[in-house]
Amino acid sequence: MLSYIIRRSLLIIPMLLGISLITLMIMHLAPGDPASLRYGLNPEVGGSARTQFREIYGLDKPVHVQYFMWLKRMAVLDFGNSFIDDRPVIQKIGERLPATLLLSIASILLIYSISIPIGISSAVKANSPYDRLMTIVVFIGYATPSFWFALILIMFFGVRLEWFPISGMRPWYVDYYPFFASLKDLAWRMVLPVMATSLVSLAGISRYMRSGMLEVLRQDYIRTARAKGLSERRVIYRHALKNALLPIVTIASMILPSLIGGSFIIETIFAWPGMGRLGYEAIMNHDLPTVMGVGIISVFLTLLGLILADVLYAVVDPRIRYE
Amino acid sequence: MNRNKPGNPHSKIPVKPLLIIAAFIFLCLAASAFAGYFGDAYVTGSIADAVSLIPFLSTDSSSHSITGMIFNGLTKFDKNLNIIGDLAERWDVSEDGKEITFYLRKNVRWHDGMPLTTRDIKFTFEAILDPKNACPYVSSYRDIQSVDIIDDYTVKFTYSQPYAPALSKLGIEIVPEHILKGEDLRTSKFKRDPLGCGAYILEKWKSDQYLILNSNHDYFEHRPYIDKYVMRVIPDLAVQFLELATGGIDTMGLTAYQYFYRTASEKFKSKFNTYTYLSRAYAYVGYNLEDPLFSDKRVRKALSYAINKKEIIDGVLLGMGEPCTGPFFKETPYYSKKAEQYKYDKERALELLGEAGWRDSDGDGILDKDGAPFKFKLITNQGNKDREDIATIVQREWQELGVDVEIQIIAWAAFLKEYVDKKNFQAVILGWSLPMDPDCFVVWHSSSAVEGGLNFISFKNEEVDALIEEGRRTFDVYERIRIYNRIHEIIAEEAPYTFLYFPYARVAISNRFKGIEPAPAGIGYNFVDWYVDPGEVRY
Repeated sequence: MLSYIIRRSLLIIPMLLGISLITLMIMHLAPGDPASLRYGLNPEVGGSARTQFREIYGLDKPVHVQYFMWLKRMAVLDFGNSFIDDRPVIQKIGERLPATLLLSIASILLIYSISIPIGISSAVKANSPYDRLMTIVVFIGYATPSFWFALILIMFFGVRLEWFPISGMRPWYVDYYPFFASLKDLAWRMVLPVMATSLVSLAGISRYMRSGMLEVLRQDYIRTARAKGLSERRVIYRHALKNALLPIVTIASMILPSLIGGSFIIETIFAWPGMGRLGYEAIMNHDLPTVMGVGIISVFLTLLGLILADVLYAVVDPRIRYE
Repeated sequence: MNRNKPGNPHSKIPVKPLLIIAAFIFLCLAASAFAGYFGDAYVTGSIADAVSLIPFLSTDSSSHSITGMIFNGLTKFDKNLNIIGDLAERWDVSEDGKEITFYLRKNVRWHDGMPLTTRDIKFTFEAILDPKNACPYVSSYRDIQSVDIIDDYTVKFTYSQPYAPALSKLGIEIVPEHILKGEDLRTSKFKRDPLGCGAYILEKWKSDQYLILNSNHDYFEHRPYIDKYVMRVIPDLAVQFLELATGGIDTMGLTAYQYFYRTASEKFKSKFNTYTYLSRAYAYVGYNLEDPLFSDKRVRKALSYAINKKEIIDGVLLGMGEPCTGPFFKETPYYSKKAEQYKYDKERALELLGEAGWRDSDGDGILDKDGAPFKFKLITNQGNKDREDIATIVQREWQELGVDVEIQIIAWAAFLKEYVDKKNFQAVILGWSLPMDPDCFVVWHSSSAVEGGLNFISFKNEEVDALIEEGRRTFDVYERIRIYNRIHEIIAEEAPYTFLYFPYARVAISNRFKGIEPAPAGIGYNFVDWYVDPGEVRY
């Protein structure tokens, strides 16, 4: 097991190298360059500014040289400075990460706590009107564009009823709040964005849960449990659920990258200062160091998530062994 | 929040008539002494966060709106767009126009209490010229030969050749030498934690969330009446409007649609005043003069006559714009009233095209010449609804002439790099924001018609070149008016662009803010004089 984990971990290195090279290539192949995006069509900025910009950031060098310069910095975990404001990329990520984690952890908790019960109850009452209704409900959620749903939430709860603030994570006058009022305000401001992010994801988890549960309910040991005369409650929650949760556990480890990735759309609408906006703006401005930084961290977490999934799978299912 | 409200007119007054009169007189006096009341906060929304608060290194409008509050320059523009002194009390220009001597105000202090002197002026312009800082505006200062300190409050700029735009260009904001000396400006902490001499002081900046400024009680003009200036980052414009309607922000620039249809309700009107003023920017259709199709002046003029500017202003801006005929701001005297207007005239357009040899000889509804049909591609950038609408209207108007136009809308990055920079287009819809000085070298001089230059339509006219150079050398305002009027008239006659319109800026501001006076310079020029009545203070 341990040697398997070590082998898998070592594989991360070539994967990171390959993916970072591809990212850099894609950014170079994409039309446009950071200098003209920054200074283009501005009558107050002279043409020499663009040349100077390219020289300062080494953009006048061939791509492979740029890649090796980047690798050299990465070897000492230096993500470099953003082209946009010359601040260290790691600092920019550090500013946005807490906001994104807050939102994504809250939505994942909400998604799981709603969709697992939906999945179980749908499986138990498979093909009943309740099951059909739930199927329709979660798929409507899945099909709803999140930007539209977010705006509807804002219109209804923010503007019409004035229950929740419309946008922003913290109000600018937050310093005047006492500690608990400040905490309450934050929770209040999370309600709409968390609802908007969660709706879309209900379908996935609840369907996994439902099919996993159906599969288990057909097993012989469930029949045995029923034959022993156990109550239906006990059969489902003690015997079936444990086994049906297996796929859900492994899926859970796959959400690691999405935890920090953030959603550009939701963050834009709710003026949430998260990673999605950082990444999107970096791409639109061809801010290579930031794009690479955000990219590398998500790739690393994805790979880590995959290993974690394998390990978790072995832990929860004794039938699986790695050599 | 610290509030100081002198002279409250609503305070209880004893009933005795004499006292009432005395109190009335006293209050009148108090009211005339205090133009406004101190307090409250002004909250704005911005779609993007500021980038860097070093004034001469940032190029984005969010950063500039903040640095303009924190810093001051040697000169500035008054509400009628005349150059006046800001940090400078007055200045002299030498006979040959090569030396400009500024005499500074003596009562200006940095936010840390240090006096602002000519050492700061010298430091700032040397930093702008230092290649390692890569200041994007450096080309406007390249002719500065030396900055000489005569005494603490007198400084002399020597130019290698006379440069009239200098007076407005030297208005760029000054930074403190005693803080920044020896620092690497590009990575300095100063860009997130600046220290200026202006009306407001940075209190707090939370990335992608908000930025708070506090009023500077020792500001040399006077203490601003509004205590706090807050910029909230709200990237989505629809959400920004909802924030405005529910009081989350106090002001917002409105689209024409919002101006007419979303702000018409009594509820909105009871909370907001709306102001309109002409924007310093115009929209145009540019023709690539290197394309054989557009090398004939008659063709360009015909295409201009065929465009109904009124229809475009009505269709795209719901009437909120002024027709434009040339490359200068309509609110300044540099804009010529005598230039060719190209009033919509389809007959004249067809006549001109006929003279140029374009006729519909095969009867397919499309003009042709030597067997080739009159067709071309009109491009514009993605994400600008106004330009996309203009393209649609212009396409139809030209179709009526028998010109086959294909519209192509291209993502910004590719649009710049692959089409505009490389002059790889036939006709383009774009707009220019106009700098304060009328000097138009970078857009209209033939030497700017290089790859990556802003004269991407390759306009080359010897008379215009000479006039532009003369305009740069001439300090006399009346002489400059003559020069730029002439440039305007020649460009209008040559029709390398079809100039379309100047849009009106439409701004809604919470009606608790008083003292706002729209002028050619817009509304922000007298922000330190805005105030809120004590009874209406919100924050």
